[in-house]
Amino acid sequence: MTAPALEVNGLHRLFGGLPAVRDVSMQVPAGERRLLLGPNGAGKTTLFNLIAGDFPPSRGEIRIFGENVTRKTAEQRTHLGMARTYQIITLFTNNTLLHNVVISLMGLLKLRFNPLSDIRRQNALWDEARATLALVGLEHLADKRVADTSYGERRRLEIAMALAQKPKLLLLDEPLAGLSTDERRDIQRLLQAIPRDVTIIMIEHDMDVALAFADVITVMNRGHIVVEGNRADVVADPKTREVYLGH
Amino acid sequence: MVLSAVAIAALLAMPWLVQSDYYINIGTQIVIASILAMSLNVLVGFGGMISLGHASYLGVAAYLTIYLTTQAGFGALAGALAAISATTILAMLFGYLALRASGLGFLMITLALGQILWGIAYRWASLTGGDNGLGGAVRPHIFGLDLMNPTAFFYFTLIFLAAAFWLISRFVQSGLGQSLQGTRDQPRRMRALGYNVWLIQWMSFVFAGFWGAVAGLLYAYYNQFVSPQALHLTTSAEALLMVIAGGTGTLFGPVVGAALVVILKNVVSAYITRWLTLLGIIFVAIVMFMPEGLVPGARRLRGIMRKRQNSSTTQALPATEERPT
Amino acid sequence: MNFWVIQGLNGLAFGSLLFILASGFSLIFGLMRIVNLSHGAYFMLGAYVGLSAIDAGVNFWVAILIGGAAIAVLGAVIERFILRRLTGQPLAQVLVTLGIAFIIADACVWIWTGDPRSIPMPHQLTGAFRVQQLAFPIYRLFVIGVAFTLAAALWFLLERSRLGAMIRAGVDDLNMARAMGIRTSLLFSIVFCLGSALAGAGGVLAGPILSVYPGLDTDMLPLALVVVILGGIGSLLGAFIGSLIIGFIYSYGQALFPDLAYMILFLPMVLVLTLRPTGLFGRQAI
Repeated sequence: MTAPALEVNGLHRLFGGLPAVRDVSMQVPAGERRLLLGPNGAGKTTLFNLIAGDFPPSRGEIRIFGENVTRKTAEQRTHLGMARTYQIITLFTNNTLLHNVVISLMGLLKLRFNPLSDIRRQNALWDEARATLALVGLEHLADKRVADTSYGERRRLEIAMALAQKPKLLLLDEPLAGLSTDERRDIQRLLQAIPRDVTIIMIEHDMDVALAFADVITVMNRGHIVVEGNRADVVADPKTREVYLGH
Repeated sequence: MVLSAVAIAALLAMPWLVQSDYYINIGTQIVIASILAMSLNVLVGFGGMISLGHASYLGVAAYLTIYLTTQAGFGALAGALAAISATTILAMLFGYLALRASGLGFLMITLALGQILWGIAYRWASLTGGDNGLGGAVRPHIFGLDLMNPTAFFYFTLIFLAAAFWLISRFVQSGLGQSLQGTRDQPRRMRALGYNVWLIQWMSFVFAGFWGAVAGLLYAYYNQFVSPQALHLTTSAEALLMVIAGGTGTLFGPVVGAALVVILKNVVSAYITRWLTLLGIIFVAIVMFMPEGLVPGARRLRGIMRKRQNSSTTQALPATEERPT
Repeated sequence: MNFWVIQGLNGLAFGSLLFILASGFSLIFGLMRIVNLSHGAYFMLGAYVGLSAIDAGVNFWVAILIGGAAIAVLGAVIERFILRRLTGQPLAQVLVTLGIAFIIADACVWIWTGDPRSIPMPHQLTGAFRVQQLAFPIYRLFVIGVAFTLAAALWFLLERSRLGAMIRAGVDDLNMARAMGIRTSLLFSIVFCLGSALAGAGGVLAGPILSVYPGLDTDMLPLALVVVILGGIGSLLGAFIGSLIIGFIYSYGQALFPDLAYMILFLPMVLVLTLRPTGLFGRQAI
């Protein structure tokens, strides 16, 4: 039996005395499309940051593909096949889109420690970067500076950077936030096109897209997991209504 | 490109044009200062790490060079290799200690370490000559050339400048150099992409220390003397000023900054003895009225700053643009 | 045995002076996140001002007040007209304070010349305190007393007064403090003045022991930095304990290996940075 892509047990995280994530346990089998729902402050992004390795949990353990990563750094987890996007833009705004993807690709290569090799001569790298941009429909903007692109284009670049590393576990933090209807459709199509063997965990507020996309939904509130199940189960469960409507 | 060619031609022809030992020596000072400034710029401009202790590598290499060749019986080449190696090892240690923090903490640690070195040089008179410093270094004969001749020595240092410029520019365009610039701009993102930010910064710190040591070697032979002043905070501050004044994100900037500071210092010293005041005023003026030069540092401190810089401020940063060939 | 006691007391005395300097630095750094590289220069300038006051006939105690007040005013001006304009740019603030430190240091040489000067002790405190075979300068005991009193006073200020509560709130979370209605800009001015005054007064107090000379600023500043690194940011207790530790190390070091005394200062830094980067009592990473 293959280990689940992600497993967290009894995860707990305090911020200055206030628990942001309380006793969260969750298993995401390989290949699943999981959606994290919940109102603002429910602890979704904190959970993401814990999984990604931004900070350690106060209690609990995290396993990625069966390996205990609780004490591992974010970069070590990336080398295990994890990638993530961010809610806020953390791109290299003064560099071109192509450069951004190249940096993403280089993260997994020994090249990143080489003080002599000219990165501009690594043609294979630049070609692969261009191909990745094509995946998200941005190849026509390859040589444009990120600072000169639109918000929607940056969101797509975010996803390209994550996909460039061919991750096995992909964490998407509100990939559709702030986008127009057309842009949302584009991203949705992009996400559907990601191969099925990639496990995706997504935080999203756009209900229609999210519910259509997800195999399993986890609803969080105030740091706890409140409801978990497939779309029908979650929609029918009275606890879900409680979370969003307060009764 | 044309500008570079003219500049290089001017550098090469300088002793001819100038015809005076005094000015040739100033040229040599500029060359040596340029190497120091370029090495610091690896940290400041490309790494976003502001160090106020970079004189440590200049000073230690200079002290070791003179001590080994005048008191420990080392030949010039052996002494140079030993001095630079030992100083680079010191950079490894100091880099480890300084990188236990970031931003302001990093700055404080580099300052403290640098001043402790100064204190050691000042007090441990039996080893370092104390306030009197170490002297007696004799410039070697290389390939029949007598380096005591100012023009010969100028060209000698120019070779090192060319090597430094070439290797540092290679570094900047290399995988490690690009990784370093990435960690300057978005450290959190770099970690998520699989980069060991600490290791990249530490390796760059050691690289910068190495070139600081090279500057120290030349400094020792130029002055044929070294005093604790070479390790003092003011020397580190002058190096930082060269980087800031010349422009941080470029390769040539530090050279321009070095020229400005060296010339200013020599001119001022000829007329008034208030160099320190002028240095202070320039620092204050640059910081208050020319902040663009400090933006890379400000960005680097994002974790400590209360307000987040919004992305529009990053556009003032003169990042090295990547253009695939 | 006597040797150890005497050196221990010397260490305590030097640590006390260091605390007077470092407490101000730590307060300013903890609350305002400003690494005030002028702090050593403030200390030195305060000492010179006090010296001139005494030369002019003023008594020692008034000279301390004058020294403290002068630097408090200087600090207020610098904070209000220079540092405040650079809010949100910690690096710029650091470099500005560095530039100001150079200007002050050079001005001191210009005004008071390069000769080291000693500040005469107040006659009430001259002489030595004798117990059995030990004799220890009364003035140094006095300085130790001042530091402990200052520590208690600052503790009281921070823990029991309204101003202190505001300062602690600001140190913990500045934005939250502002959101709660605390007038942070006024708070900043007060703290900066207080820190500066402590530096200036401390310089005068240190005068009879350390003398006043060009270079006093760059002798003291790194020690203040080491104290804060050792003790942790935003911790008064850390500054106090850190100052005493450095005082002891320096004193014993000076007595046992005079050449290497400065080298010994590396040790606590290396240990703290390697084993506990937040410092002994700090809660956040430096």
